Amino acid sequence: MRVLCASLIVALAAAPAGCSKSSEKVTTEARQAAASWAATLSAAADWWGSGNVSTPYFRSIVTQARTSLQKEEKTALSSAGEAAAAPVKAVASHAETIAGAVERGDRAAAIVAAHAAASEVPADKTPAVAKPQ
Amino acid sequence: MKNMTNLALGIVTSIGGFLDVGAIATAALAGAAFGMQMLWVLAIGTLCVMLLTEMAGRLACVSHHSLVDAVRERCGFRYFSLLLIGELLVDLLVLAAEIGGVAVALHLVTGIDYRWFVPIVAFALWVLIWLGTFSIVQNGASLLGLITVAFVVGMWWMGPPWHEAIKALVPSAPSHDSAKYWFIAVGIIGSLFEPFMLNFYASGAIEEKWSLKDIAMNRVTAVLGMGFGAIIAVSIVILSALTLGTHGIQVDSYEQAALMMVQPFGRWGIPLFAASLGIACFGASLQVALNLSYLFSQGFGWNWSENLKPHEDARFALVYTLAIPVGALLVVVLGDPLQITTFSMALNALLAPVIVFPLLILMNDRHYVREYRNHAIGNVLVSAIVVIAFLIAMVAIPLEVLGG
Repeated sequence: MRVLCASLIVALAAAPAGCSKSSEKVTTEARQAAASWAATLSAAADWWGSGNVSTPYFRSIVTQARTSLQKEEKTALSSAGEAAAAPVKAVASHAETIAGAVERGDRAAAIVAAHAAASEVPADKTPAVAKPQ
Repeated sequence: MKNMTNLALGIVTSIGGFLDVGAIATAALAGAAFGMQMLWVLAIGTLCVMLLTEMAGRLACVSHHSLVDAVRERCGFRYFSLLLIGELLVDLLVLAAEIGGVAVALHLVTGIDYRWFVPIVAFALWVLIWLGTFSIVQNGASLLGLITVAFVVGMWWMGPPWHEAIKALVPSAPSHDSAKYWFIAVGIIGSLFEPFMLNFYASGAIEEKWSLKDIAMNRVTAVLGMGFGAIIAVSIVILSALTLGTHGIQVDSYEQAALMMVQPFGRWGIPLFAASLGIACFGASLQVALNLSYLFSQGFGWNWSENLKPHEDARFALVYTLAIPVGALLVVVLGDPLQITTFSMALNALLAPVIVFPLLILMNDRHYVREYRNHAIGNVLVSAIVVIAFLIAMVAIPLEVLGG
């Protein structure tokens, strides 16, 4: 058991040395997060438009998107600069428009803004059958 | 007839009790990020948890010892102290994740911030344990948990490519993002054999006075119950792959995970997801809170039973009375219930050897299980899976946390 504890401590202590994020990785992650939220907003807006999801639920997913995108933007800006944050900013701006549309109850405007976000930062779709390496 | 009823109830409660916040979250994450590619992890984890659950039940049937009780006696107080500290920390995090899961479920249907529901959920949890008996707590929550069968119906409705699903049962390396892949794999394993579940199962067997004649029933319950439960977890992976992954939606929050049910169920999708998540998490949080009481009471030799009145086992009641508010506080302080969940599930995989290896020692000790000892295959299989999961966890957790 002592050996296990010691190995764990060594692994945890050694990890930070090799694990600081490169700006390339931050850029990729920021783009992926933006694209994922754009796809989420697009699907959720369609379903809100057709009455399949309630307004409180749609409002909460928009709020969640705005909060996550804000955090992502901050991280991207500080670690990789303006270019990395650009896709996040673009989706965040559409999310603001959608939030306004939700408050007005304007479903059509929400759908237009959500689709715009999804086409501006398209998501990498995961095939149901991912090809292993 | 009574045996058949007990058997049916055992299987049904295992199915309902199999799923919790960890299983739902990790399966949804896996499906959205890697399609059906990670089904093999679920298959191996399920095989392992079937073996472990059966062992914990057999130990109780033959020796009339719960797992913690026997570990304390066989391995001594120093080892028990290590187990106590490890399980206390991980169980409190898991309890926080489960309480957070119920609160998020209520948030999904009302739109009100989940943090407002945390104290209400914690109070309801405490009242039910304080006033309820073991069978009410276990069977009631687990029967309601059958609503999670909605995931199977949803998957069926989506018409999954079965031949590809079967192919995915063969272990494979990640198609992309290795760190995330292995972190989720560890989370899935951790969500399947959560250490609290083993002692809770053995303690439940003692609460219900299982004996040698219940060994066969224990075996059937472990295999069928866990097997059917795994089918629900597999359904979540496939449903998430078909509905979220194919749209490019990654699961960074429960709001996103809930969308998986909209395509098959339309306007009932979000309420069904919320009900499944809420009930599964509430049932699991009852088990975690009770397990903390079992852990302390059995380890220190206090009176213990959920069937006793709180004044008859005051220290047992005191433990869950303290643990529940601490768990609730952790949800509020740490925030983001999904992150608490994935992290606590990965920690489960790290803690697993601390509880699994003493269980294996006990299950090979004539003094405890007489002629009902383990076969070599069971010993080797469980040891191998637990060691591999532990080693992957050692690498994957720091990589994921520190963003390698």
